[in-house]
Amino acid sequence: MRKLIAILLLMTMLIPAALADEAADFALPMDHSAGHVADPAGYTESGYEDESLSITMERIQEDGVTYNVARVKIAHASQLRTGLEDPEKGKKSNYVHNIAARYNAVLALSGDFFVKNKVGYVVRQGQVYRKKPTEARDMLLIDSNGDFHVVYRSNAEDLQALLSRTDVTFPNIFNFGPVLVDKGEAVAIPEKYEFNLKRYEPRCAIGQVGPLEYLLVVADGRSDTSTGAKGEQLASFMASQGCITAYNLDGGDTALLWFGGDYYSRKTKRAQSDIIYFATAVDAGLDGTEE
Amino acid sequence: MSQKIRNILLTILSAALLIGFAAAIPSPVISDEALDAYWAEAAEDDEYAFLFDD
Repeated sequence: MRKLIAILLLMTMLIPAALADEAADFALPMDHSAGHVADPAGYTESGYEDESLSITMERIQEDGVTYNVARVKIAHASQLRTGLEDPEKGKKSNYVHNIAARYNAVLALSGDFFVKNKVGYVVRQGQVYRKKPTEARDMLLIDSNGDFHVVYRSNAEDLQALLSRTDVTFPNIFNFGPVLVDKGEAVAIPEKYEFNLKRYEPRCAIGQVGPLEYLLVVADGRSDTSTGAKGEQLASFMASQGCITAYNLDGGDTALLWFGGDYYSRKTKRAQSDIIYFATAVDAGLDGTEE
Repeated sequence: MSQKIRNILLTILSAALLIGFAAAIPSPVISDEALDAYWAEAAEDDEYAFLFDD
C-alpha cells in the first residue's frame, strides 16, 4: 500500500513537470526572428495541423457579409507573434504576403498599421516603438501567456495597473479598436470613435476564445458578394463565435487574412507595416529551405 | 532712358521682389524629426509619464 501511495505521489509530481517541459519545448524566441518553416504535410483540406499548431479555416455567410474565419490553437504563447516590415525602426511598409513569408507564418492577419499615424503605445515582440497612448482609441495588450487584456480609451490608470503586473509581460500592444467583445459579451460600439464604425466596410478583428485559442476574422466588403460589416455586426459575430475578448483592427483595404501562401480573404493591394501571425513550433528540418 | 527699357527694368524689379517675399515666408512643412521630438516631449509630461520610468 505504501509503495502504491509513493508511486501515486511521484506521478502527481512528475506529470505536471512533464507537461510543463512539453510546453517549453514549443517555445519560440520572443524577438523578431521567424518561426520554423511548416511541414507542407501539415496542411489539410480545411487548415493546418501539427503537434504545436492547429488551424481551421472557414467562410461564413451572414446578413450579406462573408466572414473569413480562422480558428487557431497553439501549444505555446510565443507562437502568437507579430511581424514588421521594418523591425528596426517600424517605419516601412510592404504587402502582407511578403511580410508573412519572411516570418514563415502559417497564418497571418493584418495589424493596426501603426506607421500611418504618430500615436499609440506601440510594442511588438517586446520592442517598444512609440510611447504615445491616445484617449481616442482602445488598446489591446497580449501578455506573455497569450492572454488578451483591453484598456478602454487608453485609460492611464488601467494601463499602469496592467503594466505594473510582475507575473506577466506584454510583448505585443495594439492601438486601434474599439473593443468588440469583453468578458464574452458584445460591447456597444461607441457613438464617437476615431474610426467610422457605422458604415458597411471590410473589417478585421482578433479574439481570444480560451487559453491559447484564438479567432481571426476578416469581413469582406466593397464587392458584389459581400457588403462589408458595421462595427456592431462584427462585435455580435465575434461574440457568437465564442470570443471572450475581441478587438477591432484596421479595416478597409488594410483588412487581410493570409493562410498557407495565399490570401484567404478578398485580396487588396495595400502595403502595410505590421502583421499578427502564427508559426509552428515544430522544427521539421526545413528552416533555411524557404524560397 | 527709353520708356521701353524703364518698363523692362520695372518688370524685373517686381519679379525679384515677388520671389524675395515668397522665399522669405517660412515653409509650413514640419520635418519628421521635429514632429517626433514634439511627441516625445509632450508624452513625458502627460498622464502616461509612467511609461518613461525605466
